[in-house]
Amino acid sequence: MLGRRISFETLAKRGLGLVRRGAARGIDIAPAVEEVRRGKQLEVAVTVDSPEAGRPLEIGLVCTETYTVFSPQLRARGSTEAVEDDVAYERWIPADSSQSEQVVTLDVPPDGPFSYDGEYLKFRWRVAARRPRDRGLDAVRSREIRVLP
Amino acid sequence: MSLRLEIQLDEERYAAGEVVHGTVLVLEGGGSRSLEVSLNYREQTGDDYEDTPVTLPGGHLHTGDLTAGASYQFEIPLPDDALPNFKSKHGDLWWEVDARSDERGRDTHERQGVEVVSRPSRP
Repeated sequence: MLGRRISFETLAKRGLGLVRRGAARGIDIAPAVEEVRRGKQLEVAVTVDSPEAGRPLEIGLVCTETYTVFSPQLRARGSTEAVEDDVAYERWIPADSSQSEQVVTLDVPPDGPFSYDGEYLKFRWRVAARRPRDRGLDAVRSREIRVLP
Repeated sequence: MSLRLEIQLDEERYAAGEVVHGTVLVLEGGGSRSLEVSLNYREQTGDDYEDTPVTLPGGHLHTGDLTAGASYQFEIPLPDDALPNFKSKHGDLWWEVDARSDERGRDTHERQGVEVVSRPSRP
């Protein structure tokens, strides 16, 4: 069986994620549980080393859908299957940027995707904190969680 | 004349842990070695990449030729941790019953989607 290729766009998105993570040094998030059921709430502890009032800080719940597509242009590289990422769910709420420690409660959508790791389709959930930067990419720190159906 | 089957389910909707009850009807009879049924969890992306990560056999319903008008009942329990159906922008996850007549040459399949929902919320 020929291998599946990760598309250039997907590679670029994942690379940017690493850059954002590096820019988020000093921000940490810790979900109270690693598994949560759809329709329930999730508490997330947020810690910021250098809080700055007025500098926006947002806490979010994000689900990424990863899926296989047919890409005939990849044939020359030995495969016609490419892997793409898309955001299946995303909600951000503002946090208090003046606090060094706080707990934020997020609602897990009752009719959203559940964590799934299939052959051609995957849904991965994470909680994340993001803080816009004056220049360049937003700083984003995230932790994976598992959403049960 | 080619064999033709139909699947009827007793309920419109099931939850994890419940038993899927149904009937396979023979609309047009024909030669068959055996008739069997299974309940499958299916995965598909928009570009028709398909997989069947879960197959629950429902056993042999009949051995030998199938006669028009015959009907065969089946019941297949869903696991307590069965995932529900879900449709996203780029893919689809769903349950279906597959009735298969084992024949010389190409088998006859009749497939019927089953709506499976999450179990009622627990506190």
